[in-house]
Amino acid sequence: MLKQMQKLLSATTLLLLLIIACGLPVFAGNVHSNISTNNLNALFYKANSFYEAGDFKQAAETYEQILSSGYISGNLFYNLGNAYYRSGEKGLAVLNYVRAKTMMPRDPDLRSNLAYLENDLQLTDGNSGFSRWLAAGMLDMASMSEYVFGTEVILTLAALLLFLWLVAPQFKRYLKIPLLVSVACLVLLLTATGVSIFGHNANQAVVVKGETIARFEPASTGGAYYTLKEGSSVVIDSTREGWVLVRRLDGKKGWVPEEDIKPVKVW
Amino acid sequence: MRIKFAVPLVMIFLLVLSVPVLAGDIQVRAFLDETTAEVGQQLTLTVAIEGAINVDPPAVQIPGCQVEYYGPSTQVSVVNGSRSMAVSHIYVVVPTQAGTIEVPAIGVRVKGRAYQTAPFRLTVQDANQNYGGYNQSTSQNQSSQSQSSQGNQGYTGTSSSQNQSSNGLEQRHEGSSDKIFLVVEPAKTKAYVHEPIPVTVKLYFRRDQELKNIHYPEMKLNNFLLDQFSEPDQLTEVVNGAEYNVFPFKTVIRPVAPGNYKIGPVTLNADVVTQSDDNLSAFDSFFGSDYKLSPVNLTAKTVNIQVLDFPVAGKPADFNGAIGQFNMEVSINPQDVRAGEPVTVRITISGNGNFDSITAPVLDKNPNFKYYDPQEIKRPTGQASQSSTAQHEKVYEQVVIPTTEVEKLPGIHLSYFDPADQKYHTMQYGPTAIRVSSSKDSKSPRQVADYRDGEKSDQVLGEDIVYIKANPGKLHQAGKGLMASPVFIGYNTALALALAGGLVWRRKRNQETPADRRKKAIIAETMQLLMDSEKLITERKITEFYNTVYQAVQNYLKEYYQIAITGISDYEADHLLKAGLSAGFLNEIKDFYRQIDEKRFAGNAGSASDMEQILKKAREIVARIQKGEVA
Repeated sequence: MLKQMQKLLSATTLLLLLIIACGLPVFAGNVHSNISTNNLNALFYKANSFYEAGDFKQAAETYEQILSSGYISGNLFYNLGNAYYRSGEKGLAVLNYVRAKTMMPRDPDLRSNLAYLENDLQLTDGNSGFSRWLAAGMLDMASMSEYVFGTEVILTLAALLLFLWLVAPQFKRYLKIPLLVSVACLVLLLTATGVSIFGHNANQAVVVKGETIARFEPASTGGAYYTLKEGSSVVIDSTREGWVLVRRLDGKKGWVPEEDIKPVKVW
Repeated sequence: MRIKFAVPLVMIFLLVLSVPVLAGDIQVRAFLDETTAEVGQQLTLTVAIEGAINVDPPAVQIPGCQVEYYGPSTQVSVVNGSRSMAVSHIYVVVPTQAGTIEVPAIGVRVKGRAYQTAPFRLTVQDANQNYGGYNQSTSQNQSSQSQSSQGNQGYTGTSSSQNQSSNGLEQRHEGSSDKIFLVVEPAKTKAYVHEPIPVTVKLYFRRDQELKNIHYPEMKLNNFLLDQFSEPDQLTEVVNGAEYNVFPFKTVIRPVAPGNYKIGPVTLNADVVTQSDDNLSAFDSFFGSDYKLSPVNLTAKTVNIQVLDFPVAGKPADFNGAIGQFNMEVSINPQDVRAGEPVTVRITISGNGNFDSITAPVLDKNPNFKYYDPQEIKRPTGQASQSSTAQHEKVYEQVVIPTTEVEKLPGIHLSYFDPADQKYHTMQYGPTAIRVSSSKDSKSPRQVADYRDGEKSDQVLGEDIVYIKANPGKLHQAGKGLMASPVFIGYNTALALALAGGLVWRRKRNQETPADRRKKAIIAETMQLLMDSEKLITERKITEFYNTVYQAVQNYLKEYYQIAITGISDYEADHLLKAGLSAGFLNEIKDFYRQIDEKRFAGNAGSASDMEQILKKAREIVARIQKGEVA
């Protein structure tokens, strides 16, 4: 018995070492070029100084310059949202707050600013219904990266327990409850991750123009269907020659000019 | 060196190829079907846009002409993989004065860019000048028609579409007498401006006549808009006791200006099938070539029509030329909104009249509302619009946005002139009660949720945004998240492989029989006991050593051969022999048992080397049985 336990421990240790060896680079996966990020950091501080000096348009342009290099961060979107708000571009401010929210959903400053702007623009959240409420709650709780990371940790634990279950059936009675708990956690986390990924890939867009009319047809002569306020969230269904078919949160579809909305997803 | 020249050459070649593509994107032009016309003559203006189809019709205004939009015509073609598209917006133009009319440049917006057509001139002659010659020829027709018509006056029809119009004038085909003729029959000869007047052009031909290649009639009109002719049904009528086939071509005309006018002349071309006079061969006769087609050009007598202007007395301010009998239905959705939210007003106009000219009903102006242009959602089309008696429907939708709390939607009205009672009527709907609550009902505009303690509270914090972040945080490349990393994929693959390995191991283990597993367990246990025995030698625990070695071999033989062994008696020996052990090996085992018994019970403990010998022998016995070297 003791011998078996020793063997089992050895196998488990080996497996753990293998997984950790493979997993270490994952947790350090966001290592990037110091040279390029140093330059971008410098640009960020420069943009902050523009903002502090009250030159909000210049600040927004400088933040956008960082974005155009292909690098993003929650703080960058947050500051860009602030700069646009101060420049009077409330729709663009909402857009960048929403983008920041996908990366740091629990940030209190961000939540406060977004709530303030939604209130200012009299935007309704549209999260009626249990499923939407639940999805919104999940998205507010953690970012997609956090969900993926959490899922990986629990997945590793569940895999380890399952591996022991397979190779050492004599320990089944000790493994049963931990395995069930870890699988339940894994299902929950996978659901949340799925919702998060779906949310990120849902072609969400924000109205950046003062007020735009959604029409029945992709032409300025098309009948007016409903109006969309600045900062309203919509989902892009399709595009056609300068017009975008958008779906409001209540499901109503209408065509709006392409330049009146901007997609949330920039990557 | 060659490459040095080749690269610029290829680039120039590609540039040359792309120039037409870049330059020839959009082309806009405008043209009339005729450059010389008469006052009141209906012309077709085409604004053609090549390179796009989703283009709104431009607003066209030509001084000295009445212009009405007719509709678009789109064309998309793919030739050798090259796609081309074009849209033509058609307008009906009726000159209202003589002289040279300058058709100005027409502005068109395509994909946000402005284009203009080239201006051109239209020469318009006074209608009376031209009519001189025309009437002369017409009068000749009439003189001959007047004679021929005598025999056709007072004809009676048997079909439902028959019309005993005294204006009907038939033009007999030369040589065919009254066998084929054409009649134009307007529904009325006195009408108001814009009033739709159904007109039927009837082609009569005797039952013994055969006509082929019948064309649609051509109607000469001044100061009238003409719809397309409908496809005729074939009817039968009796005129003066003779039975005729009748093709009634129906259309609707609408006068654009008051005055006395003529409908026609109306002409129609067809071919009459007649017997050939030539001497035909039997072959030609057999294949039916003994008939020939003789073209005929039929002309119907013109009909006088009086067009009246709308009476000035009692004309409502919102009257916009609607004439006929109409009803109006209105639906408002939603009726309970917050200020700033859109309300859609759907207005359905039904009845009969000039639907083509009718405009959207007017909503009373109210500063508490923001109005958007009404949009035409549905209109009578095609044949449906060609009858003035059938009920038609036209639907408008207009979005209005209440900007503040109001209780009523403004009233909607539409005025029209009814030619039946010769009076103006105004249809009025509303003001309608709706509920418009304040946009601030659901949320307090200045109340900002506080998330700083992790949970949302309703504490009022202030009226501004929180300051910017001092540092950029963790910048990372967009699109290169955790899941896109190859290491992430490798890690999960390793997990999956580990689980798959565990499954394979488990499966393999499950394939062993219970006996296999038992034997594996026995050998493991025996080896463990023998290892324990080895330790006992060093510890000089002699009795325990012999007991352990004895137990190890005893248990091994018992479990391996499934016998209740207590020693090597005849019973056990017989079992072991049956299991395949040789007599020699059996004797070795017996000798092994004897030596142990001596050590255990005879008090002859022996030295450490004796103990090692015993242990070695025990291992040899087990190993030989395992290897099967027992025979």
